[in-house]
Amino acid sequence: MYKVLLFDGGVYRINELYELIEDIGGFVIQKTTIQVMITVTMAIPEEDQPIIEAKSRELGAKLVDVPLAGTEIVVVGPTLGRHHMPHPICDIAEQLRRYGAITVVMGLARGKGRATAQITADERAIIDEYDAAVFVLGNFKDCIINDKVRLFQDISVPVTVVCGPDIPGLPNCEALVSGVGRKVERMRRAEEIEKLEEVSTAVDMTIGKRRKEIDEDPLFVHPSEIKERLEQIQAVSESLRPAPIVLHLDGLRVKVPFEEYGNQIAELEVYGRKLGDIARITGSRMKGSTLIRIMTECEVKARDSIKH
Amino acid sequence: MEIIVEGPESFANESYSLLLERTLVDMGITTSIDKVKMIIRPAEPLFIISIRMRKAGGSRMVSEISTIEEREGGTFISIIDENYAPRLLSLLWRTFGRERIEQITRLEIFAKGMTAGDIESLRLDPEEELKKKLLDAVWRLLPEGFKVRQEEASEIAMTITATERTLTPEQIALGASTQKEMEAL
Repeated sequence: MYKVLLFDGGVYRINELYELIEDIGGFVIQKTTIQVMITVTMAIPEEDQPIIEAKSRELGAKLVDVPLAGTEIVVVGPTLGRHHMPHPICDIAEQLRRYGAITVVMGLARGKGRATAQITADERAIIDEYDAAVFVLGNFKDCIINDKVRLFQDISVPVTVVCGPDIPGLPNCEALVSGVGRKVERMRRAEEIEKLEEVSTAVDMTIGKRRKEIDEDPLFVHPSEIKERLEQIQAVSESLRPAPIVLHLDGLRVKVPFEEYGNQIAELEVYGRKLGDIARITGSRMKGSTLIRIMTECEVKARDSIKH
Repeated sequence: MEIIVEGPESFANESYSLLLERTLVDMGITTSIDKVKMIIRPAEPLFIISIRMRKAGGSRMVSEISTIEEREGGTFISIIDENYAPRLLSLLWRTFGRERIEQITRLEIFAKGMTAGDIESLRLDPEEELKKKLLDAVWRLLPEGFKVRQEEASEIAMTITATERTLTPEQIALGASTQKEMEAL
């Protein structure tokens, strides 16, 4: 299984690190160079972590565990009104970012209230594009147990619920963190920071489960390998949008319109095959983006056997 | 300031008490409030908030809080009670327009083209402003989905009864009795 780590050090002899990552069968997910300093996010086989640790020590760098790197997570609030936003939704999103995830904040159009709270099919489809969802709910136990559970009942990605009252368990979600609720100020006290840690641990747990599931039937190629090839497309390399390529657990999001570049992306070559043959390439609900979901090795084999 | 919360859920009660406290501190009106009572019934659903205000000091003439002196080309105002400075400035802006009012220092204002008589007759009404701020705090506090609201207000207390369904006569009566209870304190 791959482990994602962040190398924080200098550019001196950095090529030795890149070579080592390649030798052990790992990938560089992201590089950020600031003058003579560099941060490298990498995915390496878990059992080879000591080798990378030794190299980092040798190069005088810090190695940080970023368990959520290579994932895109949506943090959902019932509305974008000030009753739910920005606290604590932004604090949670920021916390997940510190753990390496790319986060997106979303407010539902009609999520407020009790009986009137609802989620549209479109909103569900948008949430399903991400690797995991965090629903941030309010203070009333009665309301959450009886009504708000509807909001995440048909979501197919792992859901973590964050709410105020202490609830032993909720249906339709993989993890539950209580003790947060509504806030009118930033979460900066010691006990609140502990809660944020609890949220990120819960999300990490759900992502870990999903990673294990994927490892049981591995993807045909790791998303990082496709990232390198996508950078060859001029529109992608020249894109001014923040993070034009976002890694998902089972694929990628490329921030170029599917209608214009879908065919070009499908024609990219990956290990002697066209990307379109080993991945499902679709338009995203977020305008101007393309979603790539990589097929598993079994799926590709099954398709091959049908063809022959 | 005393806050009483009646409701079946202890977490929600404590949390709403804290939310109100923080909101009032943010708006700087904690000292203007005597007592707050909230009745929260999530199962109905019903949210009643009743606030008893302290006397905001009553309405005051501009001449009581400042010295007014007519000079060439306008009137010079020197504020004596600085608590009223921001309110006086915004009242002058509202009444005569920004181009005529010049703030020379923190407590000195020159009103171009105005006579002393024009300014002496103005009144500052702090109660109206306090009520506006209080309403804003209540809108921030009320659960967002509770759009059906009934308000009762008097000189010293205001009560807002809110739900997301149709308000029942019993709920309205409870709101009215809470308002009376707060007025009678």
